Amino acid sequence: MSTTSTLRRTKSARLHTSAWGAIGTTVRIVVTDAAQLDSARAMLADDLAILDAACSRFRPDSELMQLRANAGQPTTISPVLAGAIRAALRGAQLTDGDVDPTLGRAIETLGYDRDFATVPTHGGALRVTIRHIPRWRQIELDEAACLLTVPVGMRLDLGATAKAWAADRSAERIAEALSCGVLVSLGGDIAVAGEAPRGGWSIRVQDVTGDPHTPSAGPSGLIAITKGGLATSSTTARRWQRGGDIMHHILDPRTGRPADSIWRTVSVAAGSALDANIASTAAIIRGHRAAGWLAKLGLPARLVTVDGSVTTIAGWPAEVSS
Amino acid sequence: MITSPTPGSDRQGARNKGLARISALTLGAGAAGLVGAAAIALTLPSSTTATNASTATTAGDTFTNPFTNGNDDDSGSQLQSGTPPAPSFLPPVATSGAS
Repeated sequence: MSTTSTLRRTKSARLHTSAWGAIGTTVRIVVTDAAQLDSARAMLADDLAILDAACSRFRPDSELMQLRANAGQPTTISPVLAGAIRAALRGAQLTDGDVDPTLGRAIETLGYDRDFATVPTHGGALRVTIRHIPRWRQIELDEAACLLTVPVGMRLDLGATAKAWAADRSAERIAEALSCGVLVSLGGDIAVAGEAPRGGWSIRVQDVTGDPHTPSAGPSGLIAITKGGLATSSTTARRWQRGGDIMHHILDPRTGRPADSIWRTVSVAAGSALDANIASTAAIIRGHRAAGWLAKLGLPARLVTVDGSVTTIAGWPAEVSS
Repeated sequence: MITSPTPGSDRQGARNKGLARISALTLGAGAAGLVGAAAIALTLPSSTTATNASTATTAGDTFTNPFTNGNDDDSGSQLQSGTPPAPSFLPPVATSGAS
């Protein structure tokens, strides 16, 4: 389903929104110029179709899936897949491997092996033997030549970083082409570019992303950003059960199992949606160490414990109910 | 730049911690298996993996022990910080959460 709307904020600033479903999530684009909304939506839809064809692990014909046939050999890939893998490797490198793109086999083994909408919510007990988790440093990428070598047996999952990277890329491209302010949200990974509206881009931060006109079910905060990106990682969505064990999609690369974190939701604002996503995902995995780590880096963040207590750090505004 | 791998003693210590964790997990999973829950057996990446990883030249330019406890954690220093968000009193145009 697709929706388009115009939101009156003040007499001088109206924002224009279009939302639809793609790449297994909710896509939203907001622009400051009504005349550019249709063009902006079309550009974003094109970008996402290319992204899906390159990076999906749920399409047998995607470039990512085709890599399996050439495991262990240098393979020519598209610039889009090369960029997405570079973004994933940036995440791994800057978090000492906490955000690891090589957990594709582990997440498939746990049951998330198709578009999440069709993953059975309940299933029998799993007997999981993870003999070896290939390490991200074994991936060889020559981005300039678009050459990639993935070790035999390794399966990539770019889900942690690809959406955020794509949001950054599309927001910049659309803002430059259409000369207006642009917000791109891919499942809650948000990038903004161009001139921001007066008062900034108002965004509600919550456990599970949704319609901004529908109040959040849990704790939420209302903030405004003018540049860069915002990302939220949470264990409250994409959950399923196997044999009574609750699974979610953020895996700890040390074990190949869903991260057992003290945080259920972490939101981070950064210079890009990609870096915000890298930091928020790593924070879930790092647990107790996360708040100190984010504060040391000066990354404004909002962390929600499993019981719903909210901690804000590094300049993140105090909670304002929405 | 390729730097030396983590000293063997540190790596062995970290590996021992990991093995202790595995033992606990395996024991717990075994007990759970009696009541029909998941039985989980895990093996950490081998030390051979770590040795091989230090020779990779394209994906990472330093080698760090992934099992460090973070006391001297300087990871993420190249993550770009941006303008801190401000409180907003305007209606939201988007939400950020899990999807």
